[in-house]
Amino acid sequence: MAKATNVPYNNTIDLSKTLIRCPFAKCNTRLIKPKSNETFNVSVNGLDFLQAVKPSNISTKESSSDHVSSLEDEQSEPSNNPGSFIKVSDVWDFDNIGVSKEFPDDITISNGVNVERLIICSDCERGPLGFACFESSETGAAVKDVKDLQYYLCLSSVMVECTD
Amino acid sequence: MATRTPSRSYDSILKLLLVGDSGVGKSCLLLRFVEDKFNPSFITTIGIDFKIRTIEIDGKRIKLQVWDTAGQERFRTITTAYYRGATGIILVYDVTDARTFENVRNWFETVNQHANDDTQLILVGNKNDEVDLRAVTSEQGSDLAKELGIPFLEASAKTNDNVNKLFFELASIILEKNKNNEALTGNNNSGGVNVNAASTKSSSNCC
Repeated sequence: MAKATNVPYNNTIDLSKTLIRCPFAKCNTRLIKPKSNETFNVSVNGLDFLQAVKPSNISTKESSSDHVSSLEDEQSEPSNNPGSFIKVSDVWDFDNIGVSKEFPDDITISNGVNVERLIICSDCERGPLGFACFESSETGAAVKDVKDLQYYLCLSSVMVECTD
Repeated sequence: MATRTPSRSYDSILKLLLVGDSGVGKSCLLLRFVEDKFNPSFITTIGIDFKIRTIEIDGKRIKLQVWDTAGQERFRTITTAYYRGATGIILVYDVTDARTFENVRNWFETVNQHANDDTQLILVGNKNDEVDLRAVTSEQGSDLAKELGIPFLEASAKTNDNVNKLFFELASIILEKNKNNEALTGNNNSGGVNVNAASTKSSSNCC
């Protein structure tokens, strides 16, 4: 079998035929196998997610070939642009993920919903790769149950491996 | 591979809980404080509530959800809710601090009071990389574990030595114990309930 190749996400990729992995070449931990190809455009002001590919610097420098499309061990560039996310309603759908305690700052996403948690790679712990929030207002402010968290994984923070 | 599409991509789910005195390094077993400039400081500051990890045992995909009780030792009601849903509980002490070792018995009693009868315990001596500062020998740890009738392991969260083995071993024991028990299969939603039980608490963790 040919060696699986990780590529940055673009919208020609059918996510339902991919595995999503940690962008760091040395980690490469499998984060999730998406169930569908559905993506969500969300802007999160004031919060920078990890960028798997540095826009200004798709480097031609000394990097070894197996690092070309993955992050090397240096700080990535944050970005404020609205990003594409996949939504995960059940945390058990993740293969590997780290979920922070409550995010203390008041940061809202496009539809006014509060960012409650940040998510990171459970292995190398880099991130944030996305966030989690409570979406339905029905539950009110009284009880916030972690079970109801909706997770948004930022597609520009990860690498995808096409499985078909 | 021509497998059917399962509604859930795992064979078992296990909820594991870290307990022990403050300072024994429970958080470190969950969140590695690697000297790593990528680990954004705010994540370290906020802390990790839980992690999902998927491991493979005998060809089966096992999903672990590991919770930390850091900072909540004082709140008995909170930890009681944590205990209740756990399939495995990791009793942690610090091999450089005899007091934390002596307290293992108290933790054992508390856990036994509140956890389910079939919850699997494991004793872990953390910080075994601190050779010069060691105050509790491996033999002492092993003897106590024998007396309590639970497995024993030493680990170092700092070097990540044995940390993965710890979760792997605990999961293996639980699976072996439940081989003929369907309660832990993916169809059962106890995991979800567990998440529920524990998480309301973690949300209200304000310190």
